[in-house]
Amino acid sequence: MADGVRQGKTLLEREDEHPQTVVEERDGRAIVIMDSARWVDERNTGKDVVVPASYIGVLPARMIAVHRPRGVVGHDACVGKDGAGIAGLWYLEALGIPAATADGMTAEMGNGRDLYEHGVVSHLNYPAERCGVQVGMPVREAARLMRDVDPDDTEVGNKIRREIVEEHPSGRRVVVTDSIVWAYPEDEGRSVLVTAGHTGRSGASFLLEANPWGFICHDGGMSKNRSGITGLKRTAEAGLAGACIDGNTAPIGDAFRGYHEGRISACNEPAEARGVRVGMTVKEAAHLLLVGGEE
Amino acid sequence: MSTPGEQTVVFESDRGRIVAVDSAYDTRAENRDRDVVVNASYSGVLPARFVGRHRPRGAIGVDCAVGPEGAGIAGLWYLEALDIPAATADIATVRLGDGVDMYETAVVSRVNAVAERCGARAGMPVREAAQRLLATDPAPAEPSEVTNREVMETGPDGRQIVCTDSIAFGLPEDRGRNVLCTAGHTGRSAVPYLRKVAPWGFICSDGGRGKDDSGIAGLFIVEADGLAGATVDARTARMGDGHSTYFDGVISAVNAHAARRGVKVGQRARDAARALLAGDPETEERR
Repeated sequence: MADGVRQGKTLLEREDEHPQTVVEERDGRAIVIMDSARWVDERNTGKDVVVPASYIGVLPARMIAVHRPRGVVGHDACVGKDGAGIAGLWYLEALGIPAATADGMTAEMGNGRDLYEHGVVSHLNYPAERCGVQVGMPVREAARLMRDVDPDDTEVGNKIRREIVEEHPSGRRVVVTDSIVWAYPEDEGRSVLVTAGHTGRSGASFLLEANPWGFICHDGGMSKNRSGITGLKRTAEAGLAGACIDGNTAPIGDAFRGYHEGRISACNEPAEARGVRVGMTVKEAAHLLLVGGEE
Repeated sequence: MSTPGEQTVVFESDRGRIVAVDSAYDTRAENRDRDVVVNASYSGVLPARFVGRHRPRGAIGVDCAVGPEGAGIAGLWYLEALDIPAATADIATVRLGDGVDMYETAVVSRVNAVAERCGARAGMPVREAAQRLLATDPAPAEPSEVTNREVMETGPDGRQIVCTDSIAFGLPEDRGRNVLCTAGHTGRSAVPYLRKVAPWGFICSDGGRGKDDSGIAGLFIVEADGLAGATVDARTARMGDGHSTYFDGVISAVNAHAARRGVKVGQRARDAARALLAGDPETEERR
């Protein structure tokens, strides 16, 4: 074993050296690849997009964040238990640092060059989204966007994502937006709102206030006394048709994934009257809520 | 029971208040630097943005069963970056949307590093955790200080099983002596650290394996250095959390030296660590 340690001497020195390779430079800002997030340092502060082939958990994020690089593209380690492979994205977001991860099967772990040349983006935080980074984009392209684009509109609380995904001849439509608190007056009696907060007591209050044509929210993992869907009952009493997204099929807080990937875990009677059933896809349920309900 | 949209003061001291709210959106400017906000929302990034905006002294939300990709607790990491101590309550103990009930009856499931420095722990009543967040000014910590090092077991010969979050946190005393349970991947970039620390044995994460099994490549590279090691499946143990490796992990790959000590794929990491600790009596000299 002692021999092995001596052989490792140059590798020990590499730790102090923080080997970084600049692959592209523009206007004093560089894209810098490296095998480990621990090698991000003060050279990168405020100007470089770093591309380390580490998982982007909270621990590496702490190491990266102290040096405040311009942007970060890492590896998702196939996401893993509790999302620990990507949890650092949210740490970096709080500091306004754009960050993304590559799909774990598109890039080798610990190989910054491979990450840069072959990685494909799997997850990203909000500042990265503001730079134009998207899921499915090559890492190389994501890094360039982070280098060249200043993320605007990064104030806390203003990430209002809203998209009309289906329209009906009557003028009604299906609207996907991450939270019911972002309902507009124009949604009243007209929109099927697909959102991604839970459908508990506090959610029900917002729903009654918004009073949409129909709604689909998240079941919040159901929880104690099935309180994650208790809002279904209160809204049914008000004649409001609604259903819940199964928490095992789509993450809470992301209505777009809920709409595209989710399945229904519960619905109320007015929704049932429009044909909504437990187990169907969210997309199908939203369509039924949209077209149904006329006298 | 609390009133929707309002803040209910459930505890007060000279340092501030603990307020129970039904929704994270009910966090307000008046809570800044003073109050601990117990909210019966999920603890994702989206509600964390609304809590973070007002910089309360602390925040406790709900884990909503953690869910796909950890979306129910991702806000803990957002708040940690803002130095806000935060915790989640176990969904099975919470009535969603009822902050007062949560304060009175729920149990903590997860904490971020800042809350941990305040003394909050998983398994603690939310009430107690909230009071600790209110009472404690967490000492500042450099990233390299957050190692979560703990000795889990000591063998008859003094060798120890040690949990720590990264192989880079290995100490000189681990060299040739201790079994380290860490939580980074075991790709090629881990190799310099493994060689530097040269522990008696190690268990790291397989990092989800990744392209070309690159997340376990280091296991076999360090065979030449005589190091015995194994990886846990990243779907079974949280990366970056050495204790999760030890308590939750299931072995996914083993190098030749670890195999000789009896470590097997599918074994629980705790058992594997014990096998590594014991060594191979036929070929390895016991000290």
